[in-house]
Amino acid sequence: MNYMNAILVSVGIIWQLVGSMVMAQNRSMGEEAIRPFSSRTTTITQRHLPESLSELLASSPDVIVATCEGELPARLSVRDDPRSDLVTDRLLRVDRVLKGKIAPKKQIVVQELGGIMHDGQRVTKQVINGQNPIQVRSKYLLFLRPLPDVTHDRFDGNRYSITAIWAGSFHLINGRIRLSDAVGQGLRELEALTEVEVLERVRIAASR
Amino acid sequence: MENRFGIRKNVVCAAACVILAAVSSWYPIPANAQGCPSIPPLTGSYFIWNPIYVQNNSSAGATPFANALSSWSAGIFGLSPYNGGYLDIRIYNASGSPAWVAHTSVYDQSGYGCSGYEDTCGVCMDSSVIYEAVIHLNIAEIADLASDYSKTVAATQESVIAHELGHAMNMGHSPTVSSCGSSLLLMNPTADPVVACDVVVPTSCDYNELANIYSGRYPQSFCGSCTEQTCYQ
Repeated sequence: MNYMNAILVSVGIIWQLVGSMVMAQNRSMGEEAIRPFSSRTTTITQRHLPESLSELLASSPDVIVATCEGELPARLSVRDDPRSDLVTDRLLRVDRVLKGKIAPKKQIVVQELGGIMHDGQRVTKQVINGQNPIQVRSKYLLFLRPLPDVTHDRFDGNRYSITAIWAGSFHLINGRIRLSDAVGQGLRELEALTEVEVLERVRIAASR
Repeated sequence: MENRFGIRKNVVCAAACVILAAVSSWYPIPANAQGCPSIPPLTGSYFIWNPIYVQNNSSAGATPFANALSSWSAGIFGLSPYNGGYLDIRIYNASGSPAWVAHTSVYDQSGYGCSGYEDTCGVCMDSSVIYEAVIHLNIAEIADLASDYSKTVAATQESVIAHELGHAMNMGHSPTVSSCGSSLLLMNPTADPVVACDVVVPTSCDYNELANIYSGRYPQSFCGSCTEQTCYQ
């Protein structure tokens, strides 16, 4: 019995020593440590940023006004690859269609980069620099592109991404529009207009 | 009187607006003391040690990788290829969405073993200190970019890697510039003009801005692991 206790104590001490060596680490030595919490901020480099409504429209098969009704748990964009981006699916009810074939009143999913993922043991957070993610219960004018990705859920075929990652997301709030922090100056100038004025401009441009 | 004063005020205001608009269109990009367009830090997290070790796990060529590392040598950091010891920046391939050329994720000390404790130099290991950075390259998109502007893939990879290394060192984007000229920096938000205008290495303004971002917090030799001294009350 004493012999067994000695073994258990030894194993415990070794475990603690190894654990403290792994834990007391503030610089990577190349190993892929499993962490209870990790936080990353991601900056994205695109080839080109749209500078006008007409550019956004030309790159967006679908343009809608929609309200966010909910959010699915964030997941890895590449399953089982912890280095891959987090993506978050948000459920939106279509209020108005300005371009494209999405049916009004339909519920669609818009997938955005970033989010917070809880997988039981770990919490992983990814913030996309300059992006204002879609918020639940908020209304948006969205310039969208269909996502062909198959994730084997009921939203396959109804999943979209925002044109130019953040540029095509216009938050409609108090009669005005609010754009993501990283949009170009050309689009930023639209913030001087009212929601009604912007929607009218989009409607006219889309009907050409 | 009231009206006249109001009119005068409006006239003065309108004149001021015209002058301001003229000045802003003539010189639209805010410049710092060195005459460089300002580049903000990317996050509130900084590397506190120097040199920085970088590993290329991507399919980008060895020469563009080596050139991109050495291109920053005039900056405040030494960037060295990973040699089996410390590893601060990893580079991987990614397919992802075709909408982006590359991206860089910076991990701070949150969640790591030393979080909330001082290192042996007395620096608090918190979200103000970078743990590591990960660069993802969209190799196919970079090849398209090279092809569209009739540039070599190697030069385009070098430019993109050097740009992302700037992010890994906590540099944000410079103000958007779409045409060639001295205002176009390596850290431009969009890759098209950078590649089209042959900006392959950091400009003097990129170096200046890196130094500005690290002003007062120049990184030093690695201080070793954490102590048991907590830094939160």
